[in-house]
Amino acid sequence: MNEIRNSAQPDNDLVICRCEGVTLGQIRTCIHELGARSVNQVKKLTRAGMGPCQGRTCAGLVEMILAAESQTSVGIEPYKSRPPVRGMLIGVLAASADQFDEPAGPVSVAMLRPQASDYPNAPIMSEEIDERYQTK
Amino acid sequence: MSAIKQSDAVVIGAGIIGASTAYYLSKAGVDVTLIDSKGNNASSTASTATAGGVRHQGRIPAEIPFALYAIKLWTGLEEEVSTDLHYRQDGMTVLTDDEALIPGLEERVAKEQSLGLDIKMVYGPEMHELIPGLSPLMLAGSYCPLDGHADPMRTTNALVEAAKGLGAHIEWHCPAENLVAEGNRIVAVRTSKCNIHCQHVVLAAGAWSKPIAATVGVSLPIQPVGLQMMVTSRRPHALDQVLAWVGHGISLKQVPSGGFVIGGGWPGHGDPATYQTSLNPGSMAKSAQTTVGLFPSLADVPVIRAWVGIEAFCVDELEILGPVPGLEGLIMATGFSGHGFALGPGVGSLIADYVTAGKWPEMVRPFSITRFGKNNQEDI
Amino acid sequence: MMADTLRLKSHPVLDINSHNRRPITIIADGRTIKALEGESLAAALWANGIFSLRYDEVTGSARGMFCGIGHCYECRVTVDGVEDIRSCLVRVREGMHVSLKRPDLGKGDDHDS
Repeated sequence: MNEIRNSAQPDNDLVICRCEGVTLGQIRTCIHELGARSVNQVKKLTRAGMGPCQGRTCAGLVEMILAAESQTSVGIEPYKSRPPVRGMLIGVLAASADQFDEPAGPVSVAMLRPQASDYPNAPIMSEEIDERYQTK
Repeated sequence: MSAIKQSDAVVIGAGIIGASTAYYLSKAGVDVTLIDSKGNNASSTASTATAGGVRHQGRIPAEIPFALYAIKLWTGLEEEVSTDLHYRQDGMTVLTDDEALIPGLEERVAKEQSLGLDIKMVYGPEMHELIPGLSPLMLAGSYCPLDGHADPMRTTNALVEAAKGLGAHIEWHCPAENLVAEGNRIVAVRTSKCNIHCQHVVLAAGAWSKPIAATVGVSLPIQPVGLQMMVTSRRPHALDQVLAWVGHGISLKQVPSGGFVIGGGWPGHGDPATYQTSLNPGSMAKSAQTTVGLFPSLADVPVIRAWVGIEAFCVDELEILGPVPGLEGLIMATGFSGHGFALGPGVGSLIADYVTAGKWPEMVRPFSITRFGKNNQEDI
Repeated sequence: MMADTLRLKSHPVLDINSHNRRPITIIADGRTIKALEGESLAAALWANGIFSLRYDEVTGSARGMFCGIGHCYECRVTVDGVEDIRSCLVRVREGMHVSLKRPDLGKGDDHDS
């Protein structure tokens, strides 16, 4: 895809993320005016990479555009892939719920409790606690 | 590196709370430096894993006056920051399918009405007409028409940009290492890049606040909790309101770009020290199960992404907000325990009033760090 | 439509085998379509001159098969009532009902920047 780097007047209307209709111009704006420096920042500000293909089509292109526009090819944080690998129907996920012993339930927060007067005990805490987070 | 900078105020943390504070302070003419250990819209924070709800109801009562104040600010916010934040105020209903829980819900609604909320109970057919697609098993709900939601990434970014436009300095990849106090006052923030001499420090670093506060002997009874979210593919618009379900982990909304955003407090793995997060598959499955129980047609919709952010939960589930007695210049704005997004503009606005005019109204005094006792030696 | 010209008959690597595939019919948006059993739905539609499989929800533009290998999700259609089926991956069988996605912008897209 050397065209992006070498082309004198790339077309700002060129669609980069097909799923979300994000154009080259929008991505450029994101880089030059909003300071985006990673594929994930571009994603969060333009929705590029948020569609059904989850960046399979555009993430590499965005990375190249970042390199070309910021004149660098190193240190560009790539697209963060997240599970599920492919879309999973909620019904299918739901049907698997009984296989899991944990977690027992969600973190207990006021919104879930019917009584406004309930004053909470300590909520469910994360298990791994870094030493710095212990009270000295 | 010890480059020295000067700023009236330093805001530590560029999530919703810090971004909002930097904006309102700048708007009030305060010279602000906003620092964040990572880049713009970095992952793993609470602000990137909030469900984006902007709600009055379902809060600990002490917080409701503040929520009313904060949410009024949302009304003009998009215009103020010249950005479409995808803010919708189409209502929220907290539902129950359990008759035994209805009296409790009614009691909560009565309490919230007495505190000034426009909220009412809805039952049976009226409720089902308000919310097409709702599981027929739902019997009643608490409906607040002025609740809603917005896009957290757009909101945070817009506040940062607006702050920048008003003169705020933003330093990315600039972790705060320690606060510097001389006697009873904060005089500087030392970061990995520079020392910033300042008169005010707002600590809005969420799950990362505790070690920073400890450097001046302030103990924060907060702990990091990873919270997991899911989003689906686009679907034609089918849901106006935000939905929740008493006793079940779900917050359900359909955002303007068409996906369903599913939260509800399911735990995910997250370590603040490394910023690493990973999914809890049991949480995904059980969250999906809850979703189908609440809104059955979603069984045929695919989840395309799940992610985790690390939130700071306080022992009593209320934020630690306000000046710290005995340490002039230090203002806490952390520990929002999963419900800070809606309050963001309110926090920023009040801190700006405090810094410029010394005002700290009654409605936010319940969140003072002093509630944990003098010298704040409370252990979790 | 010269369906014959829009379908591969042979290929040095892929097992096209079109002469051995049984002719069948499927129904796309109420139209009867001639297909060859076991070929991909996208190929069957293509052979019948149906290139636009949906109208993109964001821009409204006509979309169809793009990568052809299940990667890009452009070729999504509804098959026998199930939405979001990648037509390049599903094989046709007799009587399959296909619904090509309609433009349905809904409320949300007015607000996309």
